[in-house]
Amino acid sequence: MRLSILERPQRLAQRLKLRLIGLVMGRTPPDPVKLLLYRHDWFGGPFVSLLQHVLRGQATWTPGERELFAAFTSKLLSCEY
Amino acid sequence: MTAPPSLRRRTSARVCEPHFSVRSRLAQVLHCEVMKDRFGTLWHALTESILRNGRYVEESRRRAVFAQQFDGLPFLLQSLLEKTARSAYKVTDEDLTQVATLTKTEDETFELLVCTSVGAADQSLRVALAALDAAGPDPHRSR
Repeated sequence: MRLSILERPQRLAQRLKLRLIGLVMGRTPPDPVKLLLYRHDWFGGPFVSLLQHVLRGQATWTPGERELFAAFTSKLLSCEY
Repeated sequence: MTAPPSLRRRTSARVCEPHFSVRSRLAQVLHCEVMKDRFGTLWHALTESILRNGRYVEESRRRAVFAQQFDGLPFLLQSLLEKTARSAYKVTDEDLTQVATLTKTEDETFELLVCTSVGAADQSLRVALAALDAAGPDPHRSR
């Protein structure tokens, strides 16, 4: 069972985004995307801003290296993403 | 809640690159100041948003689970939140099915899970920054 509320974001704009992503991908959008779009103002929005800064903001490490760190950390946490 | 001072200091150290002139050094320092504040600000914005603006769980409860204090919750819900905080990969569909009857709405479960997860990340971040502080100054900064 997954939280069914994540299938339907509360705001129309987020619902349209989710629908569009599904159409472009040709399949159901990934769960992390649903999580970030649901109640976007409360969690997804601030989290995406932070994530964008950490992974793509200017830093000593390249975006590729930072993605590698993220993948490695996820692997240590047994999270296959 | 405010971002820990060490968070801002360490972020500054990590974004600095070697410098070769006074002018580039000045630009770099200014840039690092902006970057460190930016990270601290974004982290603070995230935690403040989930702790202050929830709608389905009382703020005191959100703050408690953020601090990894699960006392007073039904046993199954407590188990789910502890599992989420310590080993989220072990959470199963069955865990969520079991707590479905313990909360009024899925939004309540959602808020509890998000606050627990971000709270666990906040604790990990603080531990990591404390370890970096204990390790001493970054040798690359003196170059």
